Amino acid sequence: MRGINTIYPTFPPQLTTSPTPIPIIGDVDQNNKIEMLDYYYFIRAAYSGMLPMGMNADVNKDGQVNDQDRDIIIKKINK
Amino acid sequence: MIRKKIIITTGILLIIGILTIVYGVTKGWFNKKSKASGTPTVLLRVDPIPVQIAENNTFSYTLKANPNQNLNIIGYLLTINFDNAKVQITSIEYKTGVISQDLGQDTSNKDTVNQLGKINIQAEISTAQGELLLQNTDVNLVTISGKALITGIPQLLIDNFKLYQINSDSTLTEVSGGVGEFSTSSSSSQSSSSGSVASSSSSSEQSSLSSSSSNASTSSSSSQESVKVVIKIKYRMQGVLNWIANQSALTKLKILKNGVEIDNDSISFIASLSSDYLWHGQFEQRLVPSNDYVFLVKPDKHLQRKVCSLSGRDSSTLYDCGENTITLSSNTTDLDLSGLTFFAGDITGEQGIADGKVDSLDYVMIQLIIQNNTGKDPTKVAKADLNYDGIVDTQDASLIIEVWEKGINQDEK
Repeated sequence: MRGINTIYPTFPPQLTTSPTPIPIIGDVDQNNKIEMLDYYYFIRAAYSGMLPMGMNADVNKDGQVNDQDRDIIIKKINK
Repeated sequence: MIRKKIIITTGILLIIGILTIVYGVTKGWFNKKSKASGTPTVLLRVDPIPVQIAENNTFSYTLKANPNQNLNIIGYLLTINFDNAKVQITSIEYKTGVISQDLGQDTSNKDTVNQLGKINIQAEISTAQGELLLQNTDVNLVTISGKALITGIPQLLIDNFKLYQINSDSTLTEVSGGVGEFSTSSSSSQSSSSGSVASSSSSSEQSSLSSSSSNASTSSSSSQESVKVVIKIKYRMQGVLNWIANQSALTKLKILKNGVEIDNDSISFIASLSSDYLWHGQFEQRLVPSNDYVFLVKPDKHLQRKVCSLSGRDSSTLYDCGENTITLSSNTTDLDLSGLTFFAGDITGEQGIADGKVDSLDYVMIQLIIQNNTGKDPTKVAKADLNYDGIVDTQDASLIIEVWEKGINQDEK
């Protein structure tokens, strides 16, 4: 029961569903912002380097990591 | 019976040994990189150290990075700002990695670069494994070449230096690099006997001088033409107690007339250490003869002092300007600051360059150099050897403590 307030319970019970974050196109490392790190993750992927689990450098979802993905990331960084 | 005891003792010792190893593993005792791993820092410096370049002569500088631990990088970026009225860039060559197209700039962008007075350097390593930068080893990043439009030391200011490190789990980390300042003002003045001179006297700057003087309501000679003034200066640095031949220090100086800075750029000159343990230098400047001048003098790695007389002296208390000002006319003027102490320790700041304060960042930089046993590294000596004895050691750290004990921690203004 540790961590649960049993003396003053929330009543009526509240739904605690957290909103599903909307993926940001170009956010390779999935941290909800596009920054230079995303560009360098793309570079790692483009040169056949490994990316950590959950990251995806194919930002336009066309099945390839190529210059089109790069252009999207750069445009977002330069915004 | 004895055999049984031996077996039991051996068993107990084995169990203790295994438990010790397990505990050690959980505490990271056997982690090889524990000593070197801490926060990675990378110092950037220019090679060679810039000197005065005559008008229309060319220069070429290589930016060298030096990490305090092995770093495997995927790329890097930095910004270089320069005064496009004094310097024009002719080439930008990447020595590590290749330019990141649409993000970085190279020679093909020199027109834009020269128009804006700013170079964006950004590179990426085009291999899967990245580029390994070795601990305490210089690596050439970029070579910048250019031409001086007027005589002086090329002024190139590095900013926003970052590297992108590849970690063992394939994640990337942004590492902010420390930047060794390698900039000074440009000028059209001549060399002096005790060091190079860098003061401003182009026609446009002269007009700004005239403008300053006309605004000076209390000036005794606001309508006069500017004249060439040669100022010879000598000063003492805290902690410099040994004379080593050929020691020189960049010294910056700002001139205020009636409380207003007469030029946005510092005058810079090289002062040389003499056998009297004083630093001697001189510079020329075009000034309107007047009696309302104040100097702000800042030797390299030291705090700035405000000087309002030609021979200001500290006593039991620090010299204070009060209402005094300096009278300057044409001719040579001796500025004898041997009675003032210039306090040591301003070597770095949040941007990696001297920031006008002596604080924990300066102290930590010296301690890191001592801990890494790199106190004799020429880069470190140039950056943090406060007493100019050729090594960064505890004496330099002590100077900072001494400054703090006096209750001093920032430039006088």
